[in-house]
Amino acid sequence: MSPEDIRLRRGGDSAAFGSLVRQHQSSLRGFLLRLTRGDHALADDLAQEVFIEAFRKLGQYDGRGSFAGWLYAIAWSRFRMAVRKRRLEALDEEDVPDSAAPASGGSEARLDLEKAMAKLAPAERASLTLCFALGMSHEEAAMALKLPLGTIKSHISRGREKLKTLLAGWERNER
Amino acid sequence: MNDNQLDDLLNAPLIAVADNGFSARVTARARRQRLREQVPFLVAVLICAAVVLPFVPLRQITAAIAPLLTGMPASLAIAALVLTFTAERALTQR
Repeated sequence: MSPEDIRLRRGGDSAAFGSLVRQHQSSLRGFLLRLTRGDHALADDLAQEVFIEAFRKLGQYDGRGSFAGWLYAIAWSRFRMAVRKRRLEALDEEDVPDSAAPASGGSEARLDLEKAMAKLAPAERASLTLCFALGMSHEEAAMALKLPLGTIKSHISRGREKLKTLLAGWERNER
Repeated sequence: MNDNQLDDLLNAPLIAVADNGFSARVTARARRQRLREQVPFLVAVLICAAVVLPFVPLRQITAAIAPLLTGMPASLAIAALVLTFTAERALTQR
């Protein structure tokens, strides 16, 4: 979406806002689903709050970064608020629910990845998801998560190492 | 698992989440919220108007303005305003 499109939609027209929601809902809900370790209801609640906040603050989007990046920044901030409020991360790693993996549409390897992802720290999950699955640069991810570039790089590196350890048995199981 | 296999897994796009009415619900909620935000402002304006109105000399104001509005300069000014507004709307929608 070009900055021009966003400017045209800033008028507050709810139909135009609807098309923005339709365009970004899948990736945003997917991102939140991964952050919430597969909690569909919570991910959808947060996604709704993100879009409502975006609707109110559309005038503040300056068009410098990508619109999706701006949405992910709101999503990350909303997720952190929810964590503080509901103590989501107080769950032990062993308590990660089986629903941590998407219910359908994934291969065995992807299901294993989702389960392993659920055991990472939230910032590691978010950094890896933004930079790999969502194709953002490290700089864009740093902007979205409001973290220094170096921190993003170390989250990615640490997250990858953890995933490799967690998925070490994967290759053997595949055979 | 080697680096390439992990990269392939991580690079795979997130599984698509079906809309299932989500966008419609969000848009409706945004519309309701905007309405809720506007109502207190409108109520405040109406209350202010109701308080001030009894003290406004409406008859004298109407009598003073009526001749001006029917004159040529006022008609031209109103026409210019209407044309500007229409043109601006057309340009925004294009």
